Amino acid sequence: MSPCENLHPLLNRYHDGELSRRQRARVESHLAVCPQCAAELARIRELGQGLRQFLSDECAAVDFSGFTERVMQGISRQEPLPLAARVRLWLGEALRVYRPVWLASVAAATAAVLLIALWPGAPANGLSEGKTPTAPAVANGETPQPEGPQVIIDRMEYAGERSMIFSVSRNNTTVIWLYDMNRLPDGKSEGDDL
Amino acid sequence: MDTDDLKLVRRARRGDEGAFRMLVERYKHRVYAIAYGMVRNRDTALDISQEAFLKVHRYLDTFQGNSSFYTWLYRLVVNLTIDHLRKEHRHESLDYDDTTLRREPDGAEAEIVPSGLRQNPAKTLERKEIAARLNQVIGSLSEKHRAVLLLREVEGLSYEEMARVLRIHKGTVMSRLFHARRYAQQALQQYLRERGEPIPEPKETEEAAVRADSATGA
Repeated sequence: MSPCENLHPLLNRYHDGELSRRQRARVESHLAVCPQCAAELARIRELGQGLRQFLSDECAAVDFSGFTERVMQGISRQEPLPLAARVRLWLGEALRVYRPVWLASVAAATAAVLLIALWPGAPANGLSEGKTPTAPAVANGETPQPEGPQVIIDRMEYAGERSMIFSVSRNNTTVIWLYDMNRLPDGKSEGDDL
Repeated sequence: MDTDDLKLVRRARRGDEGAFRMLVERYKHRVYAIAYGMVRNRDTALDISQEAFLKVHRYLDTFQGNSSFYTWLYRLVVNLTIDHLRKEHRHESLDYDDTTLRREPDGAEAEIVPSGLRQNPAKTLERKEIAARLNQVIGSLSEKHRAVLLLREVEGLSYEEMARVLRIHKGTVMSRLFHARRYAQQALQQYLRERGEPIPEPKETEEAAVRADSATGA
């Protein structure tokens, strides 16, 4: 493919300022030696300039006097949006805008639940069977080394719920989990076992 | 500018009419330009512009401030114009297929247009003639192609902003803009042919654009 065929299609995005610095440099060095592509870029620019000029002339020909006043008068006659509609629209917009965040949160939570549920010797089973790790090191404030399969390394309290973080060594891999101790299957609280 | 917009929006929400008046003053020409470009009728464009500001005020509480005020405003304007065009059925819509390029009778791709404006000042078209032709050209585009061309060329929105305004993917913005320009240039070319202007060579296909993206790692 010739440089022209390769770079010519990028002219639209070059014109729109949507190329990376590297791409822009490539296009510019090509434009310097290719009159055909330079002419094409000029045509793209001229179309834009023509449109801007056309609409600028149109705006200049329109009488906008009284426009703002008419809008303000219309506003004063306008019924306020019902609260329910406002809330619905606000929530709809919030869900749309933050959709990636919601989706990521749900995906992360699902992955965490699956990990806990499916991990061999998962702490949920261990805890419910009374095989919870003891945590003398935590109790006296020291950070323990992961000697056994499950070693508590820290505890947390958030929003009235007590949780703990501990590690599990499997095949030289250490995993750190966060537990909600108030939701143990057998209803035990942290203090019962620890 | 953007921060000022948000401050004005907050004040307007608290009932400050002066703040909203400033927003109207600031954006009325731009809103009208989009509206006129879409509907190409002065009275209708003014009505739609006014309606857009009334809607903005009515729905001000629902504006989250996560995007720029103007992208929110432009979305309202574009939606109003599209609603209007669809209701009235009075636009000559050419729903240009993104995947189809026009072909000349000999099978060659249509040439991208040319403007004699730069290359030959002696043959420069009169502004009114150009305006009339451009009016026809943008009127012959489909609503979706017209919207991207106006938002980009007249309002100067980035691809990302256009994607937010139109609620489409950035890739779709690029594709629509590519075809809108291409078709507009073809229509202008036809005009120049009629006037006996010289016609430059053909160029660029979207397939080539995709190849170029791959080649440059875009």
